[in-house]
Amino acid sequence: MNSSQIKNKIKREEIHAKKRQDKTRRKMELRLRRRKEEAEDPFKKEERLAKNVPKTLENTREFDETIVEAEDTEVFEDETSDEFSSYFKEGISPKMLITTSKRPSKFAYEFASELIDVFPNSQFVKRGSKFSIKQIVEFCTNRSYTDVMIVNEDKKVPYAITLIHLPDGPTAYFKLSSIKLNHEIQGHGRSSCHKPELILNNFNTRLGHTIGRWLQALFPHIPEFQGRQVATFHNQRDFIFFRRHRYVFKNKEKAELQEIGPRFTLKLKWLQKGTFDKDGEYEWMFKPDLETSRRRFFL
Amino acid sequence: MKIFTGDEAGLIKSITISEKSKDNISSPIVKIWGKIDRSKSIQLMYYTANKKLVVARKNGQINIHDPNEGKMCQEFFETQVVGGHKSSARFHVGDVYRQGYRTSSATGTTLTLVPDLCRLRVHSKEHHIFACGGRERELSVWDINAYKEGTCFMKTQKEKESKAGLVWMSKNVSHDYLDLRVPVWITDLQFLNDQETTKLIRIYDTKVKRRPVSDFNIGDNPVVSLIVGRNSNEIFFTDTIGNVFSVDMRTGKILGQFKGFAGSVTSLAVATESSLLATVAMDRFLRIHEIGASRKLINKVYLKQRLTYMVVDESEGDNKQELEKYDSEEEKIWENMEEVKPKKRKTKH
Repeated sequence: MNSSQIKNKIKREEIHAKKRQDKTRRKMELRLRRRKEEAEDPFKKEERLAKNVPKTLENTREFDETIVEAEDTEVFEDETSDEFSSYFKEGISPKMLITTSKRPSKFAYEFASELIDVFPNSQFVKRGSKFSIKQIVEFCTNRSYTDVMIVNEDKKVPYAITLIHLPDGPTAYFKLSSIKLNHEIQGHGRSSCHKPELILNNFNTRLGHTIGRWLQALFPHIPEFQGRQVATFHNQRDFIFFRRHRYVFKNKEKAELQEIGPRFTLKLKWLQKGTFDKDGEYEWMFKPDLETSRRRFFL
Repeated sequence: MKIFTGDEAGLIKSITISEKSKDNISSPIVKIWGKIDRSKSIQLMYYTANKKLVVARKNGQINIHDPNEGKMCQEFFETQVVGGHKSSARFHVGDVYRQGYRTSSATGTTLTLVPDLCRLRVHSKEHHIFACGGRERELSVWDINAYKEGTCFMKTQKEKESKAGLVWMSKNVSHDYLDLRVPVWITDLQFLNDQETTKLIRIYDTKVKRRPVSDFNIGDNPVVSLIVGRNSNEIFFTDTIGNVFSVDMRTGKILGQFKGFAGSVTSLAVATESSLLATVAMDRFLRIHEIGASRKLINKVYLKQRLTYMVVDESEGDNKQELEKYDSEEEKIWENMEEVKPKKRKTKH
């Protein structure tokens, strides 16, 4: 009989409590037994851990034919002549201009100043009210910049980044969220002017490859290892998380991390062929009807 | 059905799709011709009636391929096109198409033209007539037989008498409510005498007048390409953000939208017999939709490159016979059925 159907409240509670006690005891016994077995035979533990993989959205991802495989020569050959080949093949080091949208607030300036700290060889220029993005692109191309980054702001909060690669594009628009500046992070360190090492995670599809290559092309080719600084772009479910750390070797086995700000999260909204043009052709654009399932990712 | 696509890297891909049954899709067969070279990026393709594939490239090269094995039969080189002027490369396709069609040597008529032409199309039945238009270039229809040396395009009417070959030329619409000139930018045109500019589609009747017969403003984004559907009342057009709409030409209303595109659709084609719409897009996919009311996505193929142009060869493939067979079976069923005579209605008194 179902204990919940007992009408006497005291009796019902008694039986229910007993059931729960039984259940916890059984679980406890199982755990103890397992622990004993595994202490005798460590192989069993390994087996259990290998088997017990939780299902997440990432590992149950929908099949995507655009994921680039290691032996796909056509894509790699194509990439050798794409827009970023000047960085990878000819070894032209990046030079970036950072600016804001028109009439920015204090917060945009603060965030932009942190961005300058992140990207070596980048420069901040005040936007002013006169110049359009197309004009800025023209100026920067003449001054041999390789990238322009514009921090867009709405309601006094930076909410998007427009990134333009020069001279032939592409242009990308990222939604910007979860910004934490350096001083807001507990136990943060101070950055040094060394060129950081770079970690790029999970840029697997053809579109992801383009974004990954681009982010790589924003940093100088050879990092300065004595700085022990690492910048990370980690892609998970199409969100690109940026973090920056300094590593410290405590002893031979152990290394520790100290975070250097800022933290922020990017999400790609659109990618356009060529430099910024409202009427230009879009290579990829997020639309609600593309989001057919929670297990479909584009990067 | 066989589809040929051209892409930015200069590769030609031939895709054979058999759509016998629409439920279980057989995986398409993809063949790749050529090597990756961005300077040889494909601008335009044309499939001639005698089964040859004409390909125009960015560096001014124009190749004629055999559609079965991909061998190059003939090659032209237009030195004028070197420098990568997109519009001129596009223009020369119309020119060379005539050459390949009639003579085997590269001695066709040469047309000198003003830059900024975006699109030229040859009339589907009368091959000596073509139309062209571009940025700040009004739509004009030309007869190549009557053409003599000189500039192909002119701005003013006075020059018209000196230039032979011009059949018809459009006139810009009247000024807007602020009394400002309306800018012209023809990105694509189709014979049936309709043409289209940025953000709007205009239909011209060459017999009636030089201003458009109807003028529809559709969508917020510029139109990339357009095509006439199964009958002349239906147009399909694409814009820069990857929308594909079908439009009723009589009213100018959007009948429906095809879904599933992530990038701008650069080229589209209609397979009339099987009533399918094939599209290639910047997001590196070839997609095939049903044209009917459902507008369902039937098949999509990942082609690894940003695709620029496509042509469809309907004649090839086995689906035609299958369909006929199916039709005849169906007809038999209909024949065997008894005719139901309408009952006389009983009248009440």
